[in-house]
Amino acid sequence: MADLTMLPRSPLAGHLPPGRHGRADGAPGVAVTERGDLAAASLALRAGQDAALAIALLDGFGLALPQRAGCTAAGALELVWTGPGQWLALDAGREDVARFGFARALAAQLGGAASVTDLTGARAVLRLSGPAVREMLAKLVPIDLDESVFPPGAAALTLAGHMGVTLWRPPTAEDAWHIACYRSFGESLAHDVLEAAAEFGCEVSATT
Amino acid sequence: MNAPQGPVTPARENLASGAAAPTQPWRLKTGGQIDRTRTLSFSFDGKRFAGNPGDTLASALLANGVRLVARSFKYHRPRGILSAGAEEPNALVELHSGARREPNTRATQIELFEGLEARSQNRWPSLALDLGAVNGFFAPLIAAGFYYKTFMWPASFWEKLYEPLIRRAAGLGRAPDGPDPDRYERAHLHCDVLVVGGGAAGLMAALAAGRAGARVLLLEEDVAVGGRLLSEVEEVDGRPGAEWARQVESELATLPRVRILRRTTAFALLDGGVVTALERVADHLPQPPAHLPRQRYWKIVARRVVLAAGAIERPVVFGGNDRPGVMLAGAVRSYVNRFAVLPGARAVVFTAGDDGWRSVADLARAGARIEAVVDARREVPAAQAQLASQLDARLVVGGRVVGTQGGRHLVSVQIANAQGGEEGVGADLLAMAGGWNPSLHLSCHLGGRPRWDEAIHAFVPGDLPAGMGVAGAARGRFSTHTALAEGAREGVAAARDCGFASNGPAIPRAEDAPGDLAPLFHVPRGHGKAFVDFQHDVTDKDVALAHREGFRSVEHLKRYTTLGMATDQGKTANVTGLAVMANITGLGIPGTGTTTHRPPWTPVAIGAIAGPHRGRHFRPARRTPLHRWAAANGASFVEVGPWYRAEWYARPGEAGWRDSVDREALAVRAGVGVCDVSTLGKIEVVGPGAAALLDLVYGNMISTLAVGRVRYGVMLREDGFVMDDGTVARLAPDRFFVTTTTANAGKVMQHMEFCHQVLRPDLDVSLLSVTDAWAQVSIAGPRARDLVAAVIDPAPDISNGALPHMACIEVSVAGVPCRLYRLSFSGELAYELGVPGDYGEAAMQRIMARGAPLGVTPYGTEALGVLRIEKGHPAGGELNGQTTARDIGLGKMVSTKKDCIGRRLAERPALVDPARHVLVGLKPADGRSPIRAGAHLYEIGAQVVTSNGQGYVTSACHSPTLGMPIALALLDRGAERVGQRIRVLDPLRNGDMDAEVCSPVFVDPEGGRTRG
Repeated sequence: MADLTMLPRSPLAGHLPPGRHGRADGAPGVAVTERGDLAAASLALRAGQDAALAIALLDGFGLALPQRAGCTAAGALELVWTGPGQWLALDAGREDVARFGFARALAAQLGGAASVTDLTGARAVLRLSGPAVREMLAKLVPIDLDESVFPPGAAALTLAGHMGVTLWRPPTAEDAWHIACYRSFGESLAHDVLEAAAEFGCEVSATT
Repeated sequence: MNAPQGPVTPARENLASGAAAPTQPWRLKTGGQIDRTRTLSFSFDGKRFAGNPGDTLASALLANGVRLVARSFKYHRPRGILSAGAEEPNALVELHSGARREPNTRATQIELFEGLEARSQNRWPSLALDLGAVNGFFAPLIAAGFYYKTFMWPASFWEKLYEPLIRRAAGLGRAPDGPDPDRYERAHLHCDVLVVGGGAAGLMAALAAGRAGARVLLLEEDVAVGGRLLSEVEEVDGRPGAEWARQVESELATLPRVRILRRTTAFALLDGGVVTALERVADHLPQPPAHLPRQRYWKIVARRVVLAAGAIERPVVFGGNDRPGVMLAGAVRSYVNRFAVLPGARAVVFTAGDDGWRSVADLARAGARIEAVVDARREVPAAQAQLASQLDARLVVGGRVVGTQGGRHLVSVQIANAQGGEEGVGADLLAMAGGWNPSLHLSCHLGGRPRWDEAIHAFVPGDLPAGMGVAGAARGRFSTHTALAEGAREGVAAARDCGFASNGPAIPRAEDAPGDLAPLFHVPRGHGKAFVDFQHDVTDKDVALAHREGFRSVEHLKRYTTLGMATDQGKTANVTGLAVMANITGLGIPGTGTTTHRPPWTPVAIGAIAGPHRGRHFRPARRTPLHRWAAANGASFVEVGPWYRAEWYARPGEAGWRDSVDREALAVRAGVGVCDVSTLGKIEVVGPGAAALLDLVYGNMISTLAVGRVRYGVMLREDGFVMDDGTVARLAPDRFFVTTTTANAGKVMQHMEFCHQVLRPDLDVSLLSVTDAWAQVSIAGPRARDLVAAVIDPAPDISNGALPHMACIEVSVAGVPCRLYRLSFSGELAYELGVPGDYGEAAMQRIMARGAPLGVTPYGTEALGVLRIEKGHPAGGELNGQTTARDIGLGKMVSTKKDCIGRRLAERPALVDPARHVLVGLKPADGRSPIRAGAHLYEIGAQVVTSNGQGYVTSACHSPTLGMPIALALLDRGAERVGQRIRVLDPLRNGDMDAEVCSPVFVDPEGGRTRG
């Protein structure tokens, strides 16, 4: 049969039509891209392994272990705090089925320091940027987004409307905000983001 | 003299409404803060008028000589414009039309825009000739509480006749007909210092805190900052007050951490320093521009709040005080000074102190003739007496206004002098200055009680909520200088509390008159009705009646007379009502009671509170990775909690859903079907302590499960009843994959986290929801193994020996790592294939393509339900929180070899009573009548009373396999009654039939198919 390969479909495929949304004139206030390319895994600290985990991450991936409500990055890798003793690890450097190697690689490196569970495709992840991104996000999440409170390197678990989301600012990208929700909520989140950004003009670019 | 003379007459109103270019005969030629270079056209009750940018609807109506704008609530009395702000009780109009129609809007707050359409309310056939005014003649019959007394008999008439009649006669505006076409938003703001009110005090507070470096948010209800400075003739720092305000606003705009929201009303103070505010984003426009909401509901988290909301002038209660042309003296100055409108040509000013004299001076300067000044004090300062004499105005010291005359508008004022002698004075405007009540509302929202201040005869804020400071008029400090100084002081203090120290700005020069005032609330024994609450038509006599009948506590007074309960929340009425009551009780105001305030400060549209959460977006939806595929293949969807699930896949030629469901169920029994079960909750439990945790939360033993095996598990609540059921697969010694029902996924996760974090924190285990990681497909039917073999990549042995019932392995599908679990909910040979979400749709296409030769049939939740009812598997209807494991045939699953949550309480006598209901099957006695879930079971011939109830039907369907309706039910001593008949009664839906009790397992009771 002809269907030897299976093509992946990202969580928001079809729900974020590329192009201009909302106010049509002027420079867009918000830019939106789905990060559908990511390998993802959850790390859960095992008892008493804090130091071992931090060392193993640094040694194996050059990643620092982010403390409470923070995130770190190294190359294509990002590590986002998602709760006490829990992190979401992301790798933008793998494609298609090679992404499933990420959790295996993490597990191999981290040994008994953390429990690793593959979450590739389990989260809808958006990259948001632009001069109005803070004002747009203020319509979605109740937390303080001021630079003094939520600088690059910050992360939060919060609610967008009635959806649980993880919001973080990669330490390396001044302008970028990332927001992630459960895959199944992705369409609702994409709708809410476009709605909130309409006032400022919103440019959607293709999934990366 | 730059305004027309003489009282308003109908003829003058006609002049303004002619077809020719509308004029504004009462508009002052100079002054004010309106834009005379442009005119705006608007309509009131269908007549066209013109106004200017900067006008409110009220000021534009006054500029056009329209003074009758409303009919009152109960007596349909003619009403005009009383105030110039949020407190307006009279000039309520309907705005817009059609689905945008908005009733009860305050003309004093509506910014004029081109094309504005407004209509008066509560009148028939017209505002000028309102037949409802006949109510006035029946006033003795419809005093406070009349409906409790008058419409007592016959009782049945109340709901059908009296109440609808009263409601129609005592109407406010009409609700719009259609769904609201506008969008509303909710948004959040965080700041160090929130300043409520942008008058003299608020501007100084924002400036002080902003210069200190704090994050400041200034909310101003009005379109412009300045507060009373916009309405008074006075200077700040040697400049007109309005100009000073603009200059401060410009400086604030340069401070990067200061934000000003105009047209934004802080309407509630909530716990934790949260203030909610409503921004009228587009109410000043004919309709909201594209991509903008009509209104925005702000939730503001502030570390400190400075309340600088100003004050509201209070009316004086005297006969005829509601006649159009009677106006608050401060509002008169607003219209003259800010809006450049002369609200009358011949004025009487009735004042209790110095404040009313400002109106005397401003009116005279604008060209009005001051006919008389009635000052309630025993003596007046020489300068004021001199002003009266200069203006050739009659000065009545120690006098009172005791009545007014006029039809639809004031024509004369009845004045009593200090000795009681009365005379009438012709006038078309009566300005009343009875003193001001601080707008302390926000200070009360968390339960704060105001305190009576004898010096100003008003309530001032009492104990303040944590983090709040109050400045200026809101604190009862009415001089401009004090407002500026207190604003600066509170701004500095608030910023300092947030870690920003500063000395504060210099206090600008401004008037600092103490403002003498005599207490003047009520003029008893006047002529005609004297209104306390204008909007609810409550008079001084109603208050006296309430007192006579024993409703003396302010809380009773309010509820008995409805005083303060209209949409204006008694802003002009509450304190005055209390004062009238205090006069009667003789206990003084503090001895009689206090008034307090609840949110909201002004009415807030439900749409604004709902924000974007309406219609389809009322709450977020969850869709499986197979949603798009299902929709493209004819699925209709059912909402299960937040999830959309495919309920069946209709095919051409099928007459109804039953056809589809029967076909799908039979296809599974005969061949192979596939069903999207991705919505089932999935939790990965990982770590050395995983098995011990699962032994605690599940009734059955999990720790003995071998790697690569799956066990059906039942979970009890603390009280011993069943919480949820599902499967547990052991993927590795320290890794389990747990499934839950769709409905209970969140609850089970929470429960397990609780058990770990609180009961067994010693266990080294982590829990992770992986529901969204997997597209999970059930493949069921005698041909299921063939289909699985065709779909997965070659290598693994999935024969019955290698992969028996309740086993699991890792497989790959086109190179994608997947998991294959052999488990069955349908009673057939069945598997669940877990595919990573990104590949779910592709996998489904592959299943359909490879399964085509096997006749693979997608089936939805309805067929899934039929299959499990036929097999007697408990689900939602049986897991209803009132069933024990034994009740639903899972008693053996609660291990007696170990402890688990709920085990002890499950042993309570009532829960192990052999007389309890247990799960049984039912078949209709006639073989064809459908049984309905929810029907109750009775012994045939027994009396139908609750105590005779024997149980109830939990699930029912048509069984295509048996060709008849079947049901599952909980029946007392059900196991002993198999083969007996029982009555199935559904009185709500007229169902009454007999059924035969049978085993709940209708299909393959030995289970050979599942294990084959």
